[in-house]
Amino acid sequence: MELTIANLGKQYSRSHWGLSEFSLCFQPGIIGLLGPNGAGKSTLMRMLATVMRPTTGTIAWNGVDVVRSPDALRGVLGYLPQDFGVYPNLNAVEFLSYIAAIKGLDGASARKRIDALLESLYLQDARKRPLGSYSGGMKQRIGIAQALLNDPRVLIVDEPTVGLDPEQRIAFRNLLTELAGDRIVILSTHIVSDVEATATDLAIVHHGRLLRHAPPEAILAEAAGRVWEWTVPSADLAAARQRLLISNTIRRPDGVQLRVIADTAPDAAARPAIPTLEDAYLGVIAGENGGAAQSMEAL
Amino acid sequence: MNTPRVVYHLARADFLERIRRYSFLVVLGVVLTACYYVHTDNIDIHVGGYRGTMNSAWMGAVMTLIVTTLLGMSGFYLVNNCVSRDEQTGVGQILAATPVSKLQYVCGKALSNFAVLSLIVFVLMLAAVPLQWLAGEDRTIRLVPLLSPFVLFALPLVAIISAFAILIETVSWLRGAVGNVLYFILFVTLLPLGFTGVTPDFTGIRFLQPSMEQAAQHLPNYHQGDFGFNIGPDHRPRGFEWNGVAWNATALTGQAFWLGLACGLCLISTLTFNRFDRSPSALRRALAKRAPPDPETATAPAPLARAPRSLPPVKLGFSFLSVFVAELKLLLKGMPWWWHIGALGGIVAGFALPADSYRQALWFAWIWPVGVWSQMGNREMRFQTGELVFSAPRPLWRQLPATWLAGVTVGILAASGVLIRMAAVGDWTGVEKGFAGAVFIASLALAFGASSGTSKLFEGCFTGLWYLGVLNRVPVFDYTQISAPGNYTAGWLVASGCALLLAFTGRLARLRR
Repeated sequence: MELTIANLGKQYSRSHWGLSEFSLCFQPGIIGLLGPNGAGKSTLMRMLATVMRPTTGTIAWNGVDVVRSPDALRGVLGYLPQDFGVYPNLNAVEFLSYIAAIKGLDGASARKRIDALLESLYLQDARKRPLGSYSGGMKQRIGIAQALLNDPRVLIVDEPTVGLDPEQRIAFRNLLTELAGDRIVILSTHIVSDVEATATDLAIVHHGRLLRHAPPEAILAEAAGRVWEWTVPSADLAAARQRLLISNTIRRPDGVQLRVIADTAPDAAARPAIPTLEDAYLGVIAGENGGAAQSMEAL
Repeated sequence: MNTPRVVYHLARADFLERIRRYSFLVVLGVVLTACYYVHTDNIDIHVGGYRGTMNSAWMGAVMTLIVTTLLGMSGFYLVNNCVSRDEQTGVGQILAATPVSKLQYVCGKALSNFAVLSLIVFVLMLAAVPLQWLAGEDRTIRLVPLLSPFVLFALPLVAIISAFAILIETVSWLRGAVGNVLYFILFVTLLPLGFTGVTPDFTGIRFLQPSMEQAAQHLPNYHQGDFGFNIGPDHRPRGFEWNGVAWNATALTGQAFWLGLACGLCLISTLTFNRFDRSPSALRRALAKRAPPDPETATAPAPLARAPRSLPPVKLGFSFLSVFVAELKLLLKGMPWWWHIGALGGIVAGFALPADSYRQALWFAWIWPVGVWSQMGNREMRFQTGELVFSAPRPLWRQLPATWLAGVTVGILAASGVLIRMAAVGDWTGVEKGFAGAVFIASLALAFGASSGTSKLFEGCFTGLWYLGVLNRVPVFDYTQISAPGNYTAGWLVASGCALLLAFTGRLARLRR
């Protein structure tokens, strides 16, 4: 089971490529696509989900060209887009039955699966309510349910935790881990903690290009020895932001504790710290930007 | 808050957004093309069997009448989406949370509508100068006679359309197909009544007519009472010089009436505008059954999911019937209860009307579901479900045909009273015509919806078709074939085939983006 993309590119205008020369091989497990907003993650996800055609390159599912024969992948695909709508006058059962019908699922088994999904996603009590009355989190859960309807071999989820509260975000990560097993799960996000605990592989995307593709441990190893911590007076914070790549700040009684990414100790008082995935990610992106100091928030 | 500044910026943002749209250029192009034909004498006013010399006054008058007629018919459809777009994009929620008042919002949007339509009028005013010169009959450009009809007739009409569009958008049940059809009916009813003086004339033709007739009546073989528009190659001889009308206080007051009416419509809109509050009105809340508590808020926050491994397996087994039933449900589920009562009334009328007139029930039965048909092919764009639906296997061959068949079924159900009655009396040709009509309507709806991505194109064209073919009994447009002496079923089926081809091409283009 293999989903391969080679030299994939999408041109939006004469001078603007949303994605270019992107090659990657997806195998069972969770691959986290990390990148700042506008990096090209959603463009890649749409092309993988067969709802957008690439300008250049190929996508192959077990050797079959998906651009030419999209149905080869669509039959085993579950897709949760970043922005999606629902039909507000239908209830959850009607909407999921509709999606099941157009996905070509057998009626009786689809009904059982819909019941189980609604129960699993805690939507059983709201199953007869029009979707137009659902909250953002409930709509997101309907999105998850429709993506899992056909027991997909390839699950593509684009920014899935948007609209979920912290508890639900953790639960969603656990759900993905449970589901991963023998599936390919492609999870796009700009929130590092969403992939930190779950992803077996990470792909960092920036300006439409693939910067890194490696297991989280390898990316963490790159940042080893490049993360520093020390405390500065509050008044010096603004100046520090100007010249340093700060990944985090913590307010302390004696000032502000800085967490900084730098090749060498940026201050006599700085002491090395154990890198997190967020530090490593910031270091990779900053490296692409020519080492320019940029705060985590700015990314 | 500085009200003029707020209104200006509301109008400016909306104006810029809309003039960058493709539909604006289409309307501008159509009106410009029509006006181009004035200088070639293919569109003209005939007075007593003659036409006037193409001097400044004549060109200004003819072009203004074209503008008022064409913008009157299509301008509303160009501008009647500014409030609903704010609602769909979420901008409305942002605006509702600001100190902007209802009056400021309504005035800003009406001003934007006015600016969009006025820009078209302004472009035509500029075009009038070279067109008069190109006509070559009188190349002396006199700006006041040339441009005053635009200012005094076209702009007040544009103001009315702008304000009426806002009113329609702020009354929830008038939004969409109901409002679009209502406007069309109002327009085609008031236009001839205005010409004959029964209602105020918004085109200006009644004001210009006496002066033109006075200038022409000395001509030989002058036909008294022959006054109207001429479209096509049936050229009338150039016979008289008309130098415009003397504007007087009465005339100006008459035009000021339209501006006052526009302001009045804006004021009414401030009462009907709900400020993007989607909650039901107090009356509906009182009538509604007590809703069960929201499970999301009534209990402690629930975890997202549990035990995913316990999900039962699914089997593949595509059923076209399942997709068709789901599509039919989707078409009918959103319609309000009074719509279903109306549809039922159409069916009952088919059974209840006398034997010599029961076919006339199709007049109503096949315009009432226009809001149902107009969802076809564009629902995925409207509700942003495209990425979910189009990532399913074979979207072109599974979902689109099911949508089409659901549309045909709606047409047959709506006409079922008439169709059953025809079958009962053995009028199988009538039944055949009925089925062909239902097929044509669904095909046209799917074609226009899938290729344009909106419901408006179908609503506008289909209502026009209904007006010409069904109400005015022009056989070539009569998709019910009630008035047709012969059987044109084959023709309508060919037209349906072409429409289906357009629908599939439109959807394919969307899938291949």
